[in-house]
Amino acid sequence: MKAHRRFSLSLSTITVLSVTAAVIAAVSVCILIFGSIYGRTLNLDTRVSSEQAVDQAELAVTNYFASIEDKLSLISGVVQRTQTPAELEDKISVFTFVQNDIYAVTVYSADGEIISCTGSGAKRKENSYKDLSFNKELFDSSGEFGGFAVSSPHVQTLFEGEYPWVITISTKLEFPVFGNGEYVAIDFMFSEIAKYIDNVGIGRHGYCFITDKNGDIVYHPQQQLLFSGLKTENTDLISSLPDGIYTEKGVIYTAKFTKDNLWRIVGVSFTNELAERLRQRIFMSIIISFLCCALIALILLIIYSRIVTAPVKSMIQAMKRFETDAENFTFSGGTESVTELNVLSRSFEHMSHRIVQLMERVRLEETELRKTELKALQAQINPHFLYNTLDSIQWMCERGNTESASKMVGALARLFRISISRGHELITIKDEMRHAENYLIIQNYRYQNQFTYTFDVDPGIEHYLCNKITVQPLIENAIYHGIDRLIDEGEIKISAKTAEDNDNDIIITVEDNGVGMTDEQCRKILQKERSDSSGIGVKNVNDRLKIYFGADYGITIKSELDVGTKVIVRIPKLTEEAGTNETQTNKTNPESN
Amino acid sequence: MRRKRTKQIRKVIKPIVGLLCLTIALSLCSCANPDAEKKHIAVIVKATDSDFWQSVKRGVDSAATEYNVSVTFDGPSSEDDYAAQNEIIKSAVAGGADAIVLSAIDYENSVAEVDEAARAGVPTIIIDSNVDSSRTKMFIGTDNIEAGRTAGKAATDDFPDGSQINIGLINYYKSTDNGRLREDGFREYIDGIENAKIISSVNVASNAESAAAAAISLLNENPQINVLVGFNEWMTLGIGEAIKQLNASNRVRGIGFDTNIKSIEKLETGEIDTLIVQNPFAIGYLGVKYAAELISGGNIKENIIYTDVTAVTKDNLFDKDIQKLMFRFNQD
Repeated sequence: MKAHRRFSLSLSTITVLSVTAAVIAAVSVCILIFGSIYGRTLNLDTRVSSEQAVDQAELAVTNYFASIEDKLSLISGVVQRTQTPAELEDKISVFTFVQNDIYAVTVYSADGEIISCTGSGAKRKENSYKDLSFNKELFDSSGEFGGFAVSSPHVQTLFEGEYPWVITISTKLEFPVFGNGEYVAIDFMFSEIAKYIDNVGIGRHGYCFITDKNGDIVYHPQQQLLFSGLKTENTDLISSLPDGIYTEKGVIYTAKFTKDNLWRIVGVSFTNELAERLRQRIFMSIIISFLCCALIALILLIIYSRIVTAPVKSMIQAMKRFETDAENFTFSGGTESVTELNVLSRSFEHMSHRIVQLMERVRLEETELRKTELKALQAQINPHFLYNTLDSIQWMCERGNTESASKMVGALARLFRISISRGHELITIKDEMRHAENYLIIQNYRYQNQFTYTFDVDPGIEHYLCNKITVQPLIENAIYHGIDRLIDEGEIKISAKTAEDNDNDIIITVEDNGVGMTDEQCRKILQKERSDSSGIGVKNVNDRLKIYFGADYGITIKSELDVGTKVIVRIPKLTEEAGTNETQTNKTNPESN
Repeated sequence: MRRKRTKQIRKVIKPIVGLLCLTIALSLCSCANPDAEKKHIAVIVKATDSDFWQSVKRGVDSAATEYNVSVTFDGPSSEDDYAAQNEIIKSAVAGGADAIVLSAIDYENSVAEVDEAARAGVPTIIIDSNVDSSRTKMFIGTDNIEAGRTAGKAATDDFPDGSQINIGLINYYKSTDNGRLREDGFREYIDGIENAKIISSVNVASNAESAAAAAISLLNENPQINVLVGFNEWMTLGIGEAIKQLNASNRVRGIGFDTNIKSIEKLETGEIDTLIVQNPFAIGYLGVKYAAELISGGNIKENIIYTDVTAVTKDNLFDKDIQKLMFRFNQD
């Protein structure tokens, strides 16, 4: 049994743990599936919103170009029809007053000299340090009359107190005006487009910027960051790609050219951040659900152990108690709240109760059986002893030794009277000694005074009880095994005294000076039935004493070869009353069986 | 038997279903919450009117768009009024701001308000000018000492050999951290130049008029001065005005900080020779960017981020990149 005992989990732990594990697994799978679907949707959302934002920005910029081209062709027509710069300035100032996105209209000569410049109201500087609007190379790229050239955004420096960002759109005049006026250029305010681009937000964390067709950044809402190197844009990559949506290292780029291919709108948004957030959230959710499950599992475990484990444990303990000490075992079950356990404990209660009953009954039956056996044996007097005694008496009568014969007959009669003693099992020590004495008288006649005997009985203990026919078998044993084979005269000493080590016990000894016995013979006498299977042997006396008085009482034999044997009987001090009770129970019990 | 078993199964299934519902509800809650409303960041600066702060505002707005947060941009009407700024900090905390981006007027007198905000769970990120508190999350701004050195270099470069460089300083409100640091950096650089010497230094209120008046009297009292340095936008305009009024653009080199249209004009006309230009857009942008990351649970690794300074002269003013730095796109 013990070899099988290993590390083991309790029933409730196993149940709760497995349920918890199943729940956690289910929840985790749910969250993961939900998360991946949600993540994919998010990415898709970002791409869609990026595309929409860029489309709208592209439309705005295209419209912006379309409108400024319209205005340029209108103004260049006006310029061609005007005779003097002063007249032009009058006409344009009205125009710019209405069209506040036009900052200035300038007529340039072929080498950049300003022939006419009309602003939206501010005073022109007397001598400006640099004119950023004029760019001959760019102006010439517009081709012949009717073509346009568009500059990058730059600062307009011609007027006092203002440095607006403008883009310059220019065209070559069909024919020179005011003498040598070759080009007309309009500076358009850039702030509208800048504001528009600034306010384009894509997703949680995205923006838009403009490049020219070569991929150089025209406008970026964070160009100060680009300037100081705090931010870089992968313009090389973008310029190498056609329009569309690209994902590169977690960044979604959406690129689209404006209608006339001048500029390109680039939307930038981020996937990895969203995904990362999502991952964190999923992770958090799993942890939270794990904690919840653990908490609930703990509560369940406590409840479960209250309801199930505790009663099972108490039952197991009860069983262990039952294993070690069945006789004094009591158990009351049926208090459990779980049906199965209730039934189990009830039947255990019933079973244990029944087992205790049966054990008690077996014990009683065993004792009674022994007692009956012994009674049957007591009833018998060794027939050989009777024949031999009667032979001796007859022989005495024939010899006319009537006195001896009558003594023998008297002794035999007392012997029988005492051994029957009205069916009582227990008799006083005095009677028992008389019984022994009568036996010795008869045997002494028979053995023709081969031995002598002495009695040493403490008169104070003569009224205590002892089993009848206790001493006689011991004397018989002493005669047959000790004295009989002795050549010298034998001596048998019988004594009865209070035990030296215990005032409540009586020690009766039968001592002879016979041939003695080996230790093995002593043991055999106490273990074996008599070989002639008649009368009462030493073993029977011992067994009887133990049945009546318990394991502490009985016979011990001390023997030495050629010196003698001493048989010691220890019995408790029993008074008449206890003895009658004893005999009564002895009488009633066999009947009930 | 079968009925008993189904009963048992039902017994087991009930708590499982309950658990499932609970956890899904919980996880949905935790998913849904952050999207519910935009986080709010209060940007509190020294003043809102100057070009410098307008550029900071554009950076702030740009980051707000990019990081999807709402921002308010507030400051007292005067750059000296730390008490008014403290009130703005308090009302931002009371108004439920999730983070504060602050440029402190006073290095010492706003400590209590910043600490109070931190106790209320509102983190503070400092931009431009620091405050003497250990509870701020980070500093983003110009390395003012380095900016001072750059000014020192601009003040002393290209003088003919053997000539004596005599310098006058016009600085503003003494307890403002960045003005002090710029001057420290400047002095440190000048100490290493043999033929340069600071003749006089004055502190004035932070406006162009008092700076101009101080600069004029400084130049009149010390005619040997050939370099004049103003340590912020208003000081710069003041020295430009003084040089213009005294018609001294040929004999006095003007060194200024920051940029606005007037100072650029003075750069064009030669009254100011060099402007030490910070990157206010980057300061505002990074302030809000890190605040947004902080709110959404991100970690901040650096304690200090220095944005660059650029020395702008007449020669590089209209370079393509410098234009983008110097001139705002949206001039309303």
